[in-house]
Amino acid sequence: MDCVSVEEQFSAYLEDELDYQTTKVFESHLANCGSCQNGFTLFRESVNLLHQMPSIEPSPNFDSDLQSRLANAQMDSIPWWRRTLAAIRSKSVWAFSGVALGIGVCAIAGIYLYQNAYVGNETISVASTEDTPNVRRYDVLPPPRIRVDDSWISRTSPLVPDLERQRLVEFPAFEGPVFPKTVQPQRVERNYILQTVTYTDTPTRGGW
Amino acid sequence: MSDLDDELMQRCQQGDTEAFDLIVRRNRAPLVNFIGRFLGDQNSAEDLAQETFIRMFKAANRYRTGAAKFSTWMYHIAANLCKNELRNRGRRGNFFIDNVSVEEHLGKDNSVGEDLIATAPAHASLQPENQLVQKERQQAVQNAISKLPERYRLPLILRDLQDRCYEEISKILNLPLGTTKSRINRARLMLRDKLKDFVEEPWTA
Repeated sequence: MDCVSVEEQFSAYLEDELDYQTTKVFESHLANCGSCQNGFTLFRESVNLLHQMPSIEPSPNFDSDLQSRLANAQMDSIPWWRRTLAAIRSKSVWAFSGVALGIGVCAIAGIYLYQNAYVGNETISVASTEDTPNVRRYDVLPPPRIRVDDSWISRTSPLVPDLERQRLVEFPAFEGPVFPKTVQPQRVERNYILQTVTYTDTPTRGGW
Repeated sequence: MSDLDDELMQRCQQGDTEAFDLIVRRNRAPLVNFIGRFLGDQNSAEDLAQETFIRMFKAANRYRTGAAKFSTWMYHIAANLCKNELRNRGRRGNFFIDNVSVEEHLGKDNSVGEDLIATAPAHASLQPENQLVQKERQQAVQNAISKLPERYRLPLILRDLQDRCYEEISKILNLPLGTTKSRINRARLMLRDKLKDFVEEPWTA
């Protein structure tokens, strides 16, 4: 047995795992080889040092940290659809949804009432056909108008965009295509001008 | 770690959460010690030990009593986490890995494992100067362990610090028995060379 082979048997010899014959050969080599003897002594002492190492103790908050991490891990392991079902089943979600729905209905109703609220001694009447612009047969009906304190205002909803209607306005016969700048005709048919009229919302008390 | 752990795992599979609490209480100390000695860092050791328990909890239903010892299963999970952590540290470049020396690291602050030594309970009968010597020696051992390559470090810690038998270590690390034995012997030889200055001479012992 050479020095390399002896070194390979250090652990086995230290832990008494060599058979009788090998142990004899090993010990015989050590007795005659100062280098291996010294090497084995250092080997045994360093293993002893390892065995003397103190244990590392867990910190006091180890258990509490682990508990919270385990709780999170349990939540993560539940499929999303099960978590959703569990949330739907819980009473608090239903209560929250009911409250949210109530608030939403109240808000919509409030906005509606606010927009239709008129106060004071305003006289409200529906426009008569005589008061509408001078329109002819190709017209589309203009938006309904109401009279408030002797002035006509549109009553379309503020949420509806401006309405564009076309109408034919009677125009007296004239010589040459001369028109006021403000009323540029799009098409002239005999004595009629096709105009595009935009009906916009007039602000109400609500300030829209 | 015994048959009681197997029984506790069976109870855990049946939904007994207290059984798992008991498993944690029985195994947290050896697990933290194993990972702490491997990484040389108590905070990371506790983090990985907790991760090991979480993985065990999640895989509790797949645990088969009798297929392997409970401790083998536990150390196998922990060893894999340790290897991953070491690789991640190597990628991040903020720690040593395998044969890369820690001299550069120690050059700035010779404190690898210092917090681990600080946690060690000092023997009451020791004199202050002896305590200091012992602390230095333990720090040197921890540094020497941390310098070992991973493939030698794991079996060495399992054998000499966790007192596992060769057969179990070979199962934990998925190695043949002969390879396990030779690696442990090789690791001890490497450790001996690193600890020459701290090992007491036979005539002074």
